Amino acid sequence: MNARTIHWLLTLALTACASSPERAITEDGPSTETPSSSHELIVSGEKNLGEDRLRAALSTLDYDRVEFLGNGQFLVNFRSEMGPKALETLLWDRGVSAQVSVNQKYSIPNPIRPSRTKRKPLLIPR
Amino acid sequence: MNRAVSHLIAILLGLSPAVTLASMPSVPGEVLVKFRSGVSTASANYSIFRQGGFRVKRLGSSGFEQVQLPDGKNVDIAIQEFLADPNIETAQPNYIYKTLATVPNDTHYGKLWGLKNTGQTVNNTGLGGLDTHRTPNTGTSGSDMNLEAAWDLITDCSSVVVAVVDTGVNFTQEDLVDNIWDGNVGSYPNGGYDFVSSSNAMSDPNGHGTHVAGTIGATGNNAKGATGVCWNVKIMGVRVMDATGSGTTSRIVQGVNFGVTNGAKVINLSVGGSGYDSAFSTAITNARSNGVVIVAAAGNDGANNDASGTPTYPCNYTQDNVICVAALTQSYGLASFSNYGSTSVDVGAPGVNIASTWPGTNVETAENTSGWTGWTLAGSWAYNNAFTNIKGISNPSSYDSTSATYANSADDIAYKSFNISGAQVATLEFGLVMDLASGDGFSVACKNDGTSPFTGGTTVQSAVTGSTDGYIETLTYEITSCASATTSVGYRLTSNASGVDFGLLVGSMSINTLTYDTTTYNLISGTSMATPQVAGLAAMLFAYNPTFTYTDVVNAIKNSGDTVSALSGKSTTSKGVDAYKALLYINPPSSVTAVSP
Repeated sequence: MNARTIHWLLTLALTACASSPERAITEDGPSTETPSSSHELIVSGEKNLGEDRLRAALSTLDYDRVEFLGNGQFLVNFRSEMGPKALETLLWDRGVSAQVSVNQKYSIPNPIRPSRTKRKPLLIPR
Repeated sequence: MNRAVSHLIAILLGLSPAVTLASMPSVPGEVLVKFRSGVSTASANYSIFRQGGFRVKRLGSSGFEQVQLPDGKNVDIAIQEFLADPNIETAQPNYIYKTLATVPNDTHYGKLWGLKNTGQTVNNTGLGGLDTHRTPNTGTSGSDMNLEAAWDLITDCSSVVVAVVDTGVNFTQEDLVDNIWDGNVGSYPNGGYDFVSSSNAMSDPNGHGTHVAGTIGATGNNAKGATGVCWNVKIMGVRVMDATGSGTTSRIVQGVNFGVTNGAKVINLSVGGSGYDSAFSTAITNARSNGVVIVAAAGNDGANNDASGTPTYPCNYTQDNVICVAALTQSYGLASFSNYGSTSVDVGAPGVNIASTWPGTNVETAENTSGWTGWTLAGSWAYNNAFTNIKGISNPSSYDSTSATYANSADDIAYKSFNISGAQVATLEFGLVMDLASGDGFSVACKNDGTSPFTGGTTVQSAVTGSTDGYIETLTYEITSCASATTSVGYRLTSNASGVDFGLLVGSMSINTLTYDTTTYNLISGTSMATPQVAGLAAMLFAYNPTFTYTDVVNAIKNSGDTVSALSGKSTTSKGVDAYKALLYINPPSSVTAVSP
């Protein structure tokens, strides 16, 4: 995948997660370096983390929306790009222990359609 | 005493593990007795007479006699008294047997090879779905999940809620309507929640989720359509993926948390992404804390999920409540599309040519594969039939991806009108080969009046640039808002004054529409179709053994199946799931140590 492809995918997928992540083993399995920044970050806090407490910790930051996802998890939409590690550190400094990650894109697995063109046949070798 | 323990006792007694003495029905007032060798006829008659009974007949050379007890005589008491008689070697009830293998009467049951494989040819005839996904394959008799034997033990899983976190569920489908979750009707009247539209208006504009739901729990033995692994179960529809099958971490996390909060014991996740995601992992850990089993699809890329460059999540999460499922063919080979992994993928299940419920009728309008016609082509757009595997339109007209380039300062539009009147859902799919210079862009739009969609239409893809690197990228967009008798779909190339590249080729285009109904079924393939087979089995295990923990269920599924050679070295267990064996699987005692006498 060349740089232009990456750029295209970055734009198309509307996510900031197209770079190849490095894996590290954590208690719950393989981890990756979190993508460097995004407008949409997910805060995974303690189960009892409430929206009011999170909003208080987010004060002074330029965000426009907080959505509760259940289980102490929230989607926070920033008006400009924000690094998950930076937000994690800031929240920690403000008394909120949480993991922060980018809102990534998922899909149902590629449909199997033998009668149709497959997803990525090589058209012309380069 | 749970059922697993009672099975253990039955096994120790040398009985069929399928049933216990206590649970088997017997003929009232009758026992079978066997006299010891050398006992005279007179002595035997006296033994029977003492019980007030009489001999009905001798059972061939077995040595057993069928004895009729007097009215009101309890069979168990009579047996105890016979066993105390020194003339009698053994005595037992006259058990009632039936032909094993519970067979449902559903109309499409014969197509469900994963439940009962007779080597049948599976096709879409009579299902009502589009016949575009079928891989003809007659398969191997016996390569199945052994459901008929399992159904002798249990068909009703209605005590268990299974969350289908997917593209939604058509809860009005005739074979699902009776099995929809009704645990919180006041708040969720349609059996779940739609996190895409943030509403209770549960539907499935894609079809994927409805198909998954039917495999888990299409109502069995109702003389209609398909048969679920569970004949009765509570399906919770949780819509987190849009009409094109795409979703985000936030929606999926929301869906998983919703399922856990609302009592699901099993969550089916026929979804995938390529990056570790701590928020998703946190939701799965929370599910584990609540005793919930997660069943995940291995993915359809034919790739090794163990390889560092091609993991698939949630399959690759290592929490012990996750079961990752590969797809098996009708001959129990590993499906060519199925991902695998000796440390990440756990079991295999039927995933090719799977018939199940579908939300409605699809119509596909495809551009002619041998060449497109009827387009309004402006600027340098032109028909391009130069390649064998993609016919369509290109800009520049002589696009060959290696030499010719498009023009600077271009704003070239191509569009065509299609009649998709009446469609309740419409999606646009096409293949794209693209090489654009920085600052130039490709965009897609639609409109409902047949004119240029780039004038007052709806942008479905804002301008993107870059390269597909010589590959065809298949792209899908929802265009429902443009559906009419004159829906125009268009492509646009814009370029700035400096720098050009090889340009664009658009081909393999189709518009797929869906009109909801309640009677359609469809035949499709994928690890997404294998996953709900296992989710249904997990529900069956929870229902059969209400005291089972998630660990018990996971262990029963992983450890009880049949060895499948195609999964050797490509999964953690090398096994295809077997429902009957899973039901009989007994967890080994955890705190018993063998010692020498």
